[in-house]
Amino acid sequence: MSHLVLQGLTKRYGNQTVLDRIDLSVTKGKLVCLLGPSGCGKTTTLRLVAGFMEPSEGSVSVGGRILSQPGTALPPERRGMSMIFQSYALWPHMTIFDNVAYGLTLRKLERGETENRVKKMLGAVRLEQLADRYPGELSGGQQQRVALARALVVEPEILLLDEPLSNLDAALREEMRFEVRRLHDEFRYTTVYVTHDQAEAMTAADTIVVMNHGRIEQAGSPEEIYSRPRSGFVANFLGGANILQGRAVDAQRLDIGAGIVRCAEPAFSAGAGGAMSIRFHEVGVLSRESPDALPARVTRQTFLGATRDLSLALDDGTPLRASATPDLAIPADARVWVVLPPDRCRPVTV
Amino acid sequence: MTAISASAPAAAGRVGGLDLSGPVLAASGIFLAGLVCLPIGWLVAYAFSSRAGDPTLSNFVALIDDPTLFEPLVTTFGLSFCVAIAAAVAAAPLAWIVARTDMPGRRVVRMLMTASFVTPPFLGAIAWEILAAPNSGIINKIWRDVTGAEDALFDVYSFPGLVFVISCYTAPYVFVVLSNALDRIPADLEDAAGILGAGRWRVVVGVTLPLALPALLAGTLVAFLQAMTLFGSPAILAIPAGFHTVTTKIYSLFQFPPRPQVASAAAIPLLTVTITLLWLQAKLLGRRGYAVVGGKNGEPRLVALGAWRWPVLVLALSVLCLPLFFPYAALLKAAISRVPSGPFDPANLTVENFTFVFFEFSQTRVAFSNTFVLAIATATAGTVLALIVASLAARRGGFFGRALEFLATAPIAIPGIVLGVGLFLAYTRGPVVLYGTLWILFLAFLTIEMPAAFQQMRAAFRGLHPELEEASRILGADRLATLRRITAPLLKSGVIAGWCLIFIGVVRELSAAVMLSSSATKVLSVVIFDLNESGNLGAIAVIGVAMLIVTFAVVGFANWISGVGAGQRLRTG
Repeated sequence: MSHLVLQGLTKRYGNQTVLDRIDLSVTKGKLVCLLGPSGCGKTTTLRLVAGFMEPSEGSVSVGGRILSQPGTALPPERRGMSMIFQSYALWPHMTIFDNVAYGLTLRKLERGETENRVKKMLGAVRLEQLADRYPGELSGGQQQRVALARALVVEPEILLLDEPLSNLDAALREEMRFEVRRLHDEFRYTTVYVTHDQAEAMTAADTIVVMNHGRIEQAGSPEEIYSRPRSGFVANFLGGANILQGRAVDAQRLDIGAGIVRCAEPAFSAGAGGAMSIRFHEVGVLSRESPDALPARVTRQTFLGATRDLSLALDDGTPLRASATPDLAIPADARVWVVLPPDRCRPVTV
Repeated sequence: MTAISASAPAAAGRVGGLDLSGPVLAASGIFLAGLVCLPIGWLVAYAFSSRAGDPTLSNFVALIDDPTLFEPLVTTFGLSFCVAIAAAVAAAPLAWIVARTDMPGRRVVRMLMTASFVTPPFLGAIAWEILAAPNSGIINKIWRDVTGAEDALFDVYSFPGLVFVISCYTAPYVFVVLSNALDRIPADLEDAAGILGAGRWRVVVGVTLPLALPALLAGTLVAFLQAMTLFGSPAILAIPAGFHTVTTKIYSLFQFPPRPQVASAAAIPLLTVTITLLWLQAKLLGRRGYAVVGGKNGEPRLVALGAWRWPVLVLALSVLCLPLFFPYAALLKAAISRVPSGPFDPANLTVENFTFVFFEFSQTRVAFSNTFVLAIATATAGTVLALIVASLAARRGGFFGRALEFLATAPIAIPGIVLGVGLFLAYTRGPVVLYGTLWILFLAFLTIEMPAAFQQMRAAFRGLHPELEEASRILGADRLATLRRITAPLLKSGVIAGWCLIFIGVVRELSAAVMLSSSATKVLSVVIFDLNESGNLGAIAVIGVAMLIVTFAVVGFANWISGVGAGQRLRTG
């Protein structure tokens, strides 16, 4: 059952199109991640949903009711949504308690009720003791949790998050990723989460929507997107991959110059250009010749603890990265043979 | 909805869905343009016309040919140069000591140095008359008594005397700009040099000072500009010494027989140099090197002075004697003495100065009420105007926003005396005759003081992240509720600071006021200036001190209002 629906959503500034016909529907209670590099249109999408901007074309609707379309946009305060901002946007002149209570006071709740709900929410984000402090006195992670509490306490119909963790350091970011997911599992709000960090998206999302250049590249569950990337961009952005381009010999085989590579899935048309992706850890590296293996040379090798990162060059110079087991110690410049298993080679668009 | 930029949706200026920002933008643009263009237009027109009103260049020829006109130009630039150097030499070490060493009491020294800002320069000049007039000056009297010498130790009525007194009251500009910059130099830049093996003093000379150099230059430029455009101090000290600066010359050209065309021509170089130097300053501060100074890399590391801590404190305090302790002591003494520079004995004590000022002297009451009515009116109108322009510029941007910003800052380049001449020329004739009313003073003060308040307000708006307003909207508050509950409280301290800035500026303004006030519209600064001509230093001391007390009271009250509901920390992470 689709709750939030974006239909042909487009945003232009003058003759520059920043968002190009986005179609997306989000099921009630699910967490959708908009993932992409900066400038891909993900924040614009979020601001259109929030009602801070008006679309040039297309519409935003919730529960079958159209909220935004060209010419009319319900103002943000009447959408029953909450948003968490990149800067947290905590009001420095209010205590933590007042910050969190703000939305409830606007809804004219009884005082006792407001107090109860704020206290309960501060408990949920583990900040009960800090209710009387001011935002300036809190650490980044604590401010982040206040922002979460302030957004959740009003029990929004839809929760929007705009790069909420990008201002935190790495360790805190990892902790907060799980916190976001834990709170989502607890409260089950329909959530749109914007990020450029794939780990964040993988941890938090039910559905990942990869965006690039104002368009949706691919949408699906984290597993789906990771294991079956449809484009080179998605494969690269999520997890990283070798993208090999060449000319198709038949529906399954691609001549990449240094040799012929076979994909399990038939997708090419003979004679036309094509591309395939393979994850670094799916590249097999052998120290002696073997049928179907392509000869290569090690240009650089790095011990990373759990894995060993190998930079290779195929005979025609095509670079290839492989991540092998750490005990495979091959000196640089050594000759090796690489195996590209057909079921790991996925045809992609470039 | 009309055009909205990506980063800043129009949050302000809409009432009930109607976009008012367009008309408001146009209206404030026209008003600001009029404020500047009308007086300057008339000034330029006069500079290029003969007495009969025909176009001519003869006024500028006279400026170069006539030594009584040319010499003040040379004097002014010489004076400004000397003052700039003296102010920088005095202020730079003090700023470094206060910002970067562990000198005891450095906060107090800093506060006092900043407080000497509030002293109107003309009052400082008069105080130094009491201290160092060649015959009656207290210091010279003591010098003669102690050494038995015939000559004075220091004659304030001289070129060096003028340089000294003006430097006393321009050094705080250099001090404030430089100490703020030193505060913001991230400690890790210095640590980086330290780790490479540079000693403590190598770090200071090799890293800290070069990083602070743009700020030092910018502050020195301000000192130069102040010295060049100041009217009160040279009028009080240079004229008795028998020489003129450009500002006093312009003033005298309006005395009988008036030569407004030549006066206008003499104002043009002043205006040109000011604009050039301000442009230069903007370039200096806008350069990338200065942007480094602005990181948030922890507390600056303080240099330990060790055994030198106390001698350095004594040095700092003795520097503070010159703009602050000596002059105020002299004024207070003059207020309660029959003869300002007389000996400290009961026979010389009197309350006559108080009775004269508050009960006998007819101008006191009028001047007090004029001054504070004007100060409050200008501060309020200026704040509202600055707030509107700043909000439009911040939330709308684009070409018109920038144009409006430029118009609001442009008056900063107009020296007070030049604006005074321009307004005099513009409003002594039809269709609107304002000369002789308080309105012409109001316009002058608004034009002169508004830019500083505008810059204050613009900084406040820039510090206000649009997301703070958006967070309120998405939680259910409409535009008005957001303005009331979020925007207004967050801007409050900036607004009050802007208001106080204008208020203090108006009270101490002399150079435009002296051109524009008439007998019914005298303000305190002009009354003090007149009393100085008649030599009534005791009365000046009383008025001056009363003026400062009222100023501090009003500023204190304004800050108290802004402090109600205190406890706020205006920083988000």
